[in-house]
Amino acid sequence: MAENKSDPMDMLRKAMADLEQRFDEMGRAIFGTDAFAKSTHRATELSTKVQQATSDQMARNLSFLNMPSRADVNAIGERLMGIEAQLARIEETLERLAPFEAKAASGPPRTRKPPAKKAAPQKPKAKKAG
Amino acid sequence: MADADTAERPDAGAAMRALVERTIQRNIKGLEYFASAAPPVGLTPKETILKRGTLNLYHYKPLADELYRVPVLMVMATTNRGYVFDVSEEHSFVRFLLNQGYDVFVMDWDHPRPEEKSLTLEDYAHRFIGDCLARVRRETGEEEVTLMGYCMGGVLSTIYAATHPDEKLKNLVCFTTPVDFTQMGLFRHMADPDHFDVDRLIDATGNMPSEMLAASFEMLRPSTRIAGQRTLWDNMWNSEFVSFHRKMERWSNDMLPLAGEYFRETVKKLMWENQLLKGTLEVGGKTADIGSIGIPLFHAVALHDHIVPYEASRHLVALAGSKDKTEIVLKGGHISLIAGPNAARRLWPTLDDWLAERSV
Repeated sequence: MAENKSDPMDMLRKAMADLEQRFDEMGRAIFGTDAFAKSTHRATELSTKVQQATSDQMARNLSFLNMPSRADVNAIGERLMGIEAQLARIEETLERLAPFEAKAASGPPRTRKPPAKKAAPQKPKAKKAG
Repeated sequence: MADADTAERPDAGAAMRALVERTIQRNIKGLEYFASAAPPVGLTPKETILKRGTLNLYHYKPLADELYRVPVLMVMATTNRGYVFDVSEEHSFVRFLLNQGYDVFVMDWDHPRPEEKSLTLEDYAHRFIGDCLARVRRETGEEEVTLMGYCMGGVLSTIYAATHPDEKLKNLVCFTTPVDFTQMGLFRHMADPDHFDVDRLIDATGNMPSEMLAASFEMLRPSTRIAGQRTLWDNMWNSEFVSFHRKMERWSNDMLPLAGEYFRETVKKLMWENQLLKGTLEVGGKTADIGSIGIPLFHAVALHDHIVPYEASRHLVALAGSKDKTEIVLKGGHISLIAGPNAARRLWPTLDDWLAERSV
């Protein structure tokens, strides 16, 4: 980018951008190490174990209070999802047996043609393959 | 001597005045920024014509008096909201397409519900896209449809096209679509099977939490947040910049969790085994061989994409069996390729040029 000599803030802006770029490079170097990946995943594993233990305990408490747990609600959700999927399959079968009327007539006509090409337009870098 | 100095800096006084003016404006508008509500997004009129759990299919109201025959079905990446295609009136990809005469449908995603943890790659790449194509055909009365996917939406669209070579798709349009997952840099490293146990994680969490996904995206460019705030403050005097920045910031913070099984399959089949590149990926009992794609293909990639590098996406056009295939490399990053002023100047008109003659 060209330096804007008339803007007194430009030097500061440039310095900040350089600093951010170096910070990114440093970050990527750290995040790209095996040690970082291993420790991150260990921490995630630990947190999911704690989450799991808390959720198990909560499920036991809810069961004691004769209330549905998250797993129970999810199970109902899964059954509803199964019903939705079955309805979709029925809809699909019905459509095959008696196709729905298309709504094409309701919108604007589908008769548009591409505009005529202008002479030698300036295009971004593109390559035609094959 | 003094004359030479003046020649070097002819408008130093004017620059100083502009700096003071901007500083005052920055403070006034900075206060407005904190006092005002987040600007609305996704306002182009549309109708939800299909809702199935996490999936929404929108049909945008046509804005042209005459449409191209072939409708466009856009598939959004599964990690983010589809309103990136319709950020604001002046920065809306959807509105641009509507004004150019296309009939636009968008597949967008909501948070997958806990019970949707069982959704698989097959559900996303076959069932959802297949159902939406059927609905688009019913709405328009047209058999042929252009399938258009962004990022992971591009992967799903590619898988669909590769596993349905006989289906009446007119064109396949992809933006920054990875095919070689060994080239996905830090994502690949963090998902390395040597230290990442995807089974244990998904068995415990059900769906892949969006916070974890957001953290992994941030690791690719750790200064993003600080740089964003700095740029915002620097441009606080510019209302247009602030409005667009807020909308994009809202979008990038609005990440979605991923359905557990779908994430598990993505990691194992795509990240670990690189099955899409190798042509061994099986979805719904069919092999996703990119070479079997024979329809016209357009792939736009970004020169400075830090999320999907060119090395990861360059194989799509190279592998496709289409005779009519175009790859275009544009300046910009992963998001600025499709949204914002740069996209409006570069990608959108280029795509329109390509697509118009293939939509009749």
